[in-house]
Amino acid sequence: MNPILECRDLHKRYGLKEALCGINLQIEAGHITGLLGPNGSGKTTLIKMANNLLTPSSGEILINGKKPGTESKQIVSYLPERTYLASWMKVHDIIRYFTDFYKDFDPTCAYEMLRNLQIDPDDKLKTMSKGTREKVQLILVMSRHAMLYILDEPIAGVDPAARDYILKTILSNYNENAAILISTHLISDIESILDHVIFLQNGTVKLQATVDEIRENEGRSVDSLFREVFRC
Amino acid sequence: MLRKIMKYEWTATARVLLPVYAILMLITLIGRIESAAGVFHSKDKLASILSQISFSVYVLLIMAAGFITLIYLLIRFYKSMFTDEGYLTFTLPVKPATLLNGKVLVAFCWMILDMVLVCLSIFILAVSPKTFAELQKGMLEISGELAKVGLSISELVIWVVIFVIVGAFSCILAITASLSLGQLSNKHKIAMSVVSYIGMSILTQVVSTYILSMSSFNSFLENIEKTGFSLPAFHQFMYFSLFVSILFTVMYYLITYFIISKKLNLE
Amino acid sequence: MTWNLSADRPIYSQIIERVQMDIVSGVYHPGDKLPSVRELATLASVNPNTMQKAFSELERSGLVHTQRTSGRFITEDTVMISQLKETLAEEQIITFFQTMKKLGFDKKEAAELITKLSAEKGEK
Repeated sequence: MNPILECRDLHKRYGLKEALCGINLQIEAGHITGLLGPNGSGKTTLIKMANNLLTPSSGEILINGKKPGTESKQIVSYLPERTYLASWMKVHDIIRYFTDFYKDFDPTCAYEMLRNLQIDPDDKLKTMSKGTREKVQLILVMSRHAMLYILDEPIAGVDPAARDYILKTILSNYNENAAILISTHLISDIESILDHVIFLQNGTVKLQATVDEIRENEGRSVDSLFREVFRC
Repeated sequence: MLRKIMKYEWTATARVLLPVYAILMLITLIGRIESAAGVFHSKDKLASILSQISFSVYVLLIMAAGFITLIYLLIRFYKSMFTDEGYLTFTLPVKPATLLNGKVLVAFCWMILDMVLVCLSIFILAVSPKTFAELQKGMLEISGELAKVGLSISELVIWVVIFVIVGAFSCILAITASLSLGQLSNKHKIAMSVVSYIGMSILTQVVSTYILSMSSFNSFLENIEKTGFSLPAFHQFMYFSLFVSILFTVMYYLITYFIISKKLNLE
Repeated sequence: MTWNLSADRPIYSQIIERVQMDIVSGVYHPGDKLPSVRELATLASVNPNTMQKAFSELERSGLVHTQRTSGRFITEDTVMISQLKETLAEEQIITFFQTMKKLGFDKKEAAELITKLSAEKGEK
């Protein structure tokens, strides 16, 4: 079985600057992995490459054994850190859009989650608050039965109550055949749902371990270790 | 997939452009009614002022319709491909070529629609039984003159249609290519797009002038006075022009395609 | 069921302790059926693999057993449960002695303190 996401000596250069310097990592199905690192560590670059929004300078990145492309986009569900939906659309319109383009999209699932969060599907995105828009985006991403979910800061702009709901949503959509990759700064909130973590710094993998290993070996939380490793 | 892309592209653009054309046709109808009521030919001072204003507004509106169409399509392309919305567009399980083709085809439809509606509008306003008869007479005269040099109205019409179609694609793709080149820059995307557009226009002009100079077009023009209109020279000129146009259109397409496939610079 | 999970120890160990406590204190009765690992994970907001690890361990120790088609059940072995009760109590006492030692009381002094306090408060 292929790892769902694999990087082999992955490099990305922008002119003279090297954003990723030889990344080697593997993410297997059935795991929820945290991609952790300070700003500028290369997290966003790595994520963009997994989504074929950037091409490697050298090395390989493979999604389920294949290079990122049209095929991989069918099995990757990506939540970017920004509002990427057209603001003039109504939620209904967007659901129809996703249903049309993604074979694995489940509109029933989406509508149910919208109901739970009391979001009216007739509302236009531009009339919603930022927090609500982010919830809608997350719902859309989690309503796909994808093999790899990449969530970039899924709980950053959201109130604590909604955060719990979002974490529970991520957990209830978990399945052993998919992998979830969460990139975030809010480690302490998310730590309990992770089983693996990857620390990224200056474009290299500084640490790749399970949460249990870190807690057993270091006797502290991942959040605490992070603060020490990336001390300013 | 192409159909789906076009469907959504159409829905997104129609909600802005259809009202514009609706207004255009509405004004046309109002103008027609005014005309029928003899407003434009009245010697009454008030009516005369009204007709002058109406006319100016109308001309402005026609120009605006075309302008708005082009600008809006430009903005739409830029927004959906190179701003935050690009994250949605480029993570769709769709080949970049399909995305580009869908958007270009829909843009083309709008441009043609714009031209057709403007012509229709002018026709509605200008043509009455009297002018229609004059028009027919004029057409027969032109036909006669053209036949003398071996041309027909239908051939001219075909040339016009071909150039309009190629021209529309050329215009659209020159814009997409400029925007694609512009987004390569990190801080000055819009400025770079403008610079690219100007740069490519200049390049196009220079190259096409050079190529056309090989088509003996200059001699063709010079010699019209002396030897009269030469049909073969005319055809040669037409083919060369068409070739140049198509060449650049294809170049713009390839530039856009290459950049969106390999050099996307979303922030 | 609110889970107060501390951040510096592995979660699966904390889940094991919590379940042990719940069994011993009667929150779970012998023979009770447990929800699925996924349900429990979502309820507790923890990673399903972590929850699974905890329950695999609990199963290994015999506190929990799986019946092929019906799911997971708490053991009906009341002897095992009383033994667990004793073990947990002993652990608490050992920890108590350790803390008291830090405060400067040896075991005998600590025990005397307990007797004294029990008498005073009329403790059961």
